[in-house]
Amino acid sequence: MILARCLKERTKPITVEIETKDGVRRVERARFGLHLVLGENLKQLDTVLEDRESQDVWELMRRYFELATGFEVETSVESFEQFAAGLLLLWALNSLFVPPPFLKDPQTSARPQRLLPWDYEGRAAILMVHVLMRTYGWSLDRVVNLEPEVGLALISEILVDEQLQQEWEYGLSDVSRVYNPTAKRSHFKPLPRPAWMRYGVEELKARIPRNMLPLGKVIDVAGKEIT
Amino acid sequence: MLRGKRLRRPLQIELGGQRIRIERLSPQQGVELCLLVGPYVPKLRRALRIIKKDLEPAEASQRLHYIAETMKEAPGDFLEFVGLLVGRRAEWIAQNTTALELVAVLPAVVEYQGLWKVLALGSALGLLELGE
Repeated sequence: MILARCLKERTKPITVEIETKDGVRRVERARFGLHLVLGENLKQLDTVLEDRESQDVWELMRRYFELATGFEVETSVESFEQFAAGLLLLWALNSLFVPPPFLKDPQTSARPQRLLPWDYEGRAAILMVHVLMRTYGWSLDRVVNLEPEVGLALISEILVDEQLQQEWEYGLSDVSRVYNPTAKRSHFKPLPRPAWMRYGVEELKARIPRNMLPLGKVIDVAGKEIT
Repeated sequence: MLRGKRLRRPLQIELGGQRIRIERLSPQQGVELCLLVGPYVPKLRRALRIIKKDLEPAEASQRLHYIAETMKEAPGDFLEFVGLLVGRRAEWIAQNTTALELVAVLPAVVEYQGLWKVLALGSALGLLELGE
């Protein structure tokens, strides 16, 4: 489905019309390289939105608009209405129609990540490009001009291949077997997989002691407007 | 979306005994407004729809009170919101205008400033924790 849709997009690129000072201008959907840059921008926007600092939010929104369209806000946009309409269209245009599972990893997104000594700003995007270049021997130009969904799906496949290869090698070594002295036997201890490669884990039901449950008539206010 | 001449035509309103020429929100002011009203988007959308012209004074102040009540989590937000829309400071709005006057001008100002886009952007940013 991803490939079919992207092949169709190649022949007839998806575009949106943005209203500007000089009339309507057509903007094409971002390719893989630009998509990664825009993704970094949205991540930063999420962070600054927590502080509600309007100057930072504005700067990031402006940068997104300019990166995605290729024209400057000051010279091309007349009012906020035009800017907002354009930005909403661009967000929709550049969102993924099939997000790959590794981007939805609950563990990596929920846990605050510790910076590695060799980390730098924008490394996640470079890493993805690097993985594709290293695996397929493609040039930078070729990688950054892929359709975003194809690029991410290929990275997903590369990560799966690497994990399965590591599991195979791990399975051949002694460390994969743990000796249980009571049973006087060894058992196989599989190599842990990243969360996005595991089957869904059932949510644990919170057990509440009976004496802590509410008593008497319970008024359900869900769905009712409280004035 | 407003296009061509309609976009450039300025809006003039009567407020607080003055004739005010309203400047269109710049993208930066719009983002500021968006952050201000973002948390109240669902309720504000509903409230703005029920404001109509030709209201009785009591009803007008009741409806404005509803919007102000919607934004009560942060006092002053409502006045700042109206102030940003008409290009006046919140204190000026508080001292010089009446509920009836505000109700009379709000529909035109809301339309002129493209407030629906502010609300759309606000909800896209996911700032809805107070309004839902």
